[in-house]
Amino acid sequence: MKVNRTLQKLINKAVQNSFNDSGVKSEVVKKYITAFKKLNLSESIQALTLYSRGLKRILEEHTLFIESAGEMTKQQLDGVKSLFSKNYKLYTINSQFNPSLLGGLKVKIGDSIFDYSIKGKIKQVKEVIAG
Amino acid sequence: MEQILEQFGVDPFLLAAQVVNFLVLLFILKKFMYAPFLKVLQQRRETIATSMKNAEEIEKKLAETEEEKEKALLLASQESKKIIDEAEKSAGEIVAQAHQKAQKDMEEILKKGVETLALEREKLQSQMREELSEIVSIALEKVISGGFDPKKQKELIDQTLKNLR
Repeated sequence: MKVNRTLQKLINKAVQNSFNDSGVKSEVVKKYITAFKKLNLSESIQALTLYSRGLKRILEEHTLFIESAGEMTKQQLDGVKSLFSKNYKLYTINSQFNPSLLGGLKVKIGDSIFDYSIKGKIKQVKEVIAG
Repeated sequence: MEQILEQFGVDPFLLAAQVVNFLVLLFILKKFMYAPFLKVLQQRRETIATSMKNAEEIEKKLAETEEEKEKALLLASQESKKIIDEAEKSAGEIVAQAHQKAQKDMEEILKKGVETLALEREKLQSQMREELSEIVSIALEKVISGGFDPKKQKELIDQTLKNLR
């Protein structure tokens, strides 16, 4: 389906305006959704799809995914957050228990992955041996 | 004179007749015997002279032919010697070229063999490293899996955070 260039620009602007330094601006998002609903049906569907994709993309880019082999305490999670907030704008933190990591933790933000797990270390050892 | 003839018993008429007879005989012989005989002798002489001349010519031609044959043989001998020399030279060159080519081919084969061997060795080493890394990885995972209690897990995370600060 061909997207109207003006509509695309408008959606991109709407996505940018839907965030501030602390995260998603819910009121603004609601306002844009209401506005997009008022368009004709095909444009409305297109606009809402692209807008939700844009929001999801920005959210993923600014969400800190933490995987750990053991349960993390709040203090530890805050520690990770404070470490990464120095270099990245963080909106949300998503932590997950993953016993396959064997020990330590793995952090993902946007396209960057920081592997501090035992499994990651083993992988590094494996790569060194394999040359 | 007549007395002498009578003393010797010679009849002049008879003598004259005999002389005439002799002359007639001489004439007949000369006419019918000596002339053809001489003619035949002359012809024979001419034939012999012609034969001798022909023989000389033949001998001369034979000598010339012999000389030409000698020349031709000498020339042929020289040509054949030249051809043999050239053939020997060509054969030598061909052998040298073949030797060079064989040497080059052998070196090429040897080089390719060494390269192939090196590649195979590299491949084998790579495979061995790959398998070793896999074994080490599996062994480490087996050893470590379930080896950390929650307290140790917390310590590991704390240690990681401490290292990151």
